[in-house]
Amino acid sequence: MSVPGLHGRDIGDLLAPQGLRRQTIPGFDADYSDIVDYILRCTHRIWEGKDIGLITSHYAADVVIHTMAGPTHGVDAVIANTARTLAAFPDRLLIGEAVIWSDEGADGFLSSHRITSVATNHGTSEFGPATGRQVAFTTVADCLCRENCIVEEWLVRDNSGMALDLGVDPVAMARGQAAADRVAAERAPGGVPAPWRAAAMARVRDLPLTAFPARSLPNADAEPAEFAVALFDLVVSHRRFAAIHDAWSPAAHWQGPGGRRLFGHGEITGWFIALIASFGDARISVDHVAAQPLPGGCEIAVRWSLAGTHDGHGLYGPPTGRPVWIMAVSHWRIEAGVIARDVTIFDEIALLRQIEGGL
Amino acid sequence: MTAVRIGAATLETQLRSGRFDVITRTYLHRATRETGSAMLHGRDALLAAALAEAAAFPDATTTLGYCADDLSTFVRQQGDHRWRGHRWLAREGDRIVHETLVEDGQVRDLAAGREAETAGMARLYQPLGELRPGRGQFAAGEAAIVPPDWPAAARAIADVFHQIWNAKAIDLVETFWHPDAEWHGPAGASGGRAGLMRWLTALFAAFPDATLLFERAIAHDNAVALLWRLHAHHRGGQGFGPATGRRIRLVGSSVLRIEGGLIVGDETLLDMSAIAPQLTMPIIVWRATNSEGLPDGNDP
Repeated sequence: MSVPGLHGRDIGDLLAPQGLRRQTIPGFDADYSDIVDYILRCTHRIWEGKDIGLITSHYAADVVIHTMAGPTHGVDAVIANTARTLAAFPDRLLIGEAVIWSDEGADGFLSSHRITSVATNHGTSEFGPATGRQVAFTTVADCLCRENCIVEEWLVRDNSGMALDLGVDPVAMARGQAAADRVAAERAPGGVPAPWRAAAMARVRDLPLTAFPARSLPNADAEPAEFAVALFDLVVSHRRFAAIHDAWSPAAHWQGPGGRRLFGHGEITGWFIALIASFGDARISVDHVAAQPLPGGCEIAVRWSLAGTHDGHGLYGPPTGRPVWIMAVSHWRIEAGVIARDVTIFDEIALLRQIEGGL
Repeated sequence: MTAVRIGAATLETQLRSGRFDVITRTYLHRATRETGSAMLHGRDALLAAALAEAAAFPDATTTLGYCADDLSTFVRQQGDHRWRGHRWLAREGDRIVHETLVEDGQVRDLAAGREAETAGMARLYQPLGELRPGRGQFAAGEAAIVPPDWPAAARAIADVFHQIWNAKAIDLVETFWHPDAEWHGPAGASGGRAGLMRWLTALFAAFPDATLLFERAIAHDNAVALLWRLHAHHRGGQGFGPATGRRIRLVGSSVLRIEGGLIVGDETLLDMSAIAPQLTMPIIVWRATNSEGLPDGNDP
């Protein structure tokens, strides 16, 4: 029995009882019929249904949540952070836009869940005092799920877009965080700030550079993982930006950090060039790829990380010479063999925080 | 609520007659709407927008024009103000997942007695990339660059639009539009071939590198509809104040009626009310100032 995705399914259909199990998901609660149902239903129950305590039975006790601001450990932190977010944004609607999953064998399932949230800021948050403003922001949660629990999560949120909606200056916020980081670093044992970030950057930088590639790409529908790896290798590792014409539709929509929206080859090429202009020695690692079929194509989720030096103008102002690390997720909708929609999310405030000397 | 697949004409009629439950019955909960100035997320937001629209134009009447399954065109009238709109629908199964609404915003705003809205305007970033990517010094070429699933029946029209808009071959209007063709343009403009050519000339004078990017086409019977984007830089002073050099990004829509191989009716919409905010809104440039709030010297 196949696992239906979100395509064409309304919220009433998605959250109605699904009946018999459609997928072998050992150890999951009986009322989850498949991994997509598990992700959507538990997200609704916890966030919109406010059953925050359910996190206890849906996250491993020793879960690690990776973000660009650093990892958090343990289920108690997940519960506390969820409560804090809901106190600040009590009417948050989590509009699930895609659940792109992969079977990881004995490790469980990897679900890349893209959500655009609409919420009103009624309480103090990490962005400051309540503003009363409405926000819309996109998040991607890559969750490794096993036996009813999320055992590891990679979470990217469009924090700069959220800040702008709230009327908060993302750069000022990042500068404040960076100043606090520097104070903390002075007190850190051995003076080594954020060892997790240093390790993450080293992992990407130590990857061997591939041989100069031909300008050709695998079929995105038939070989999505190979397509993703080859595309980032061409465009980012080898700066062959002309390949954007081969991979993206001339009518492609691109959504990125800060709520930025681009259209077509010219602007998408411009973004990639500006990214590399900002980090001239940037290296990239494709860390995970999941894909699921859609009518007329497929959806691909690519989690990637980039390490480099802020050595040029481009997207983020005058160069500082500071090392940076980006953890991003791109969701590509493939239609007629090319990327028709690209949603690429990373935490731009955490990036600006690094540029300003933080973490 | 059970989904009902209805055509764009029925949807438009029901929306305009206050039957807002049609939104719940026909749109997905995660449906989005793009207009010339904003993006709405979620069916609840679309419902709120429909109610706001009804409140803003309590006496408006609506007349439907050309409609296809996924496209409605309409004329709204309130008092002395008449404005046109094109609603493009994208579906997943029976339900609508996205709509692109292109309206003659200048007239609509006049009818509402308000200035162009900037509050809902998408934020404005430093522009990225070039308008004609990778072409360098080559001319625009004869063939339009269209998405791979572009309908064959709309190919020839795309090439004509490409020549006129991107190669600035305005005189082709006299070749491909019937001498008695009826043209309706933005900001209430209308006329025949001469009116269209005058409008294009004025637009290109203000935006000489205007580039039309093709997004979607619907072709059947004797009609072709095109959904497109216009990207350009404000380099000429005509009509929009002194040149600012700013990039503008607009959504456009054209519905063309064709007889005997010639265009006999052309309704082209571009929300001109979205231009002024893009020429005046502050541009987001990360770290344009240093930590003391002083300019870092990299303002565009």
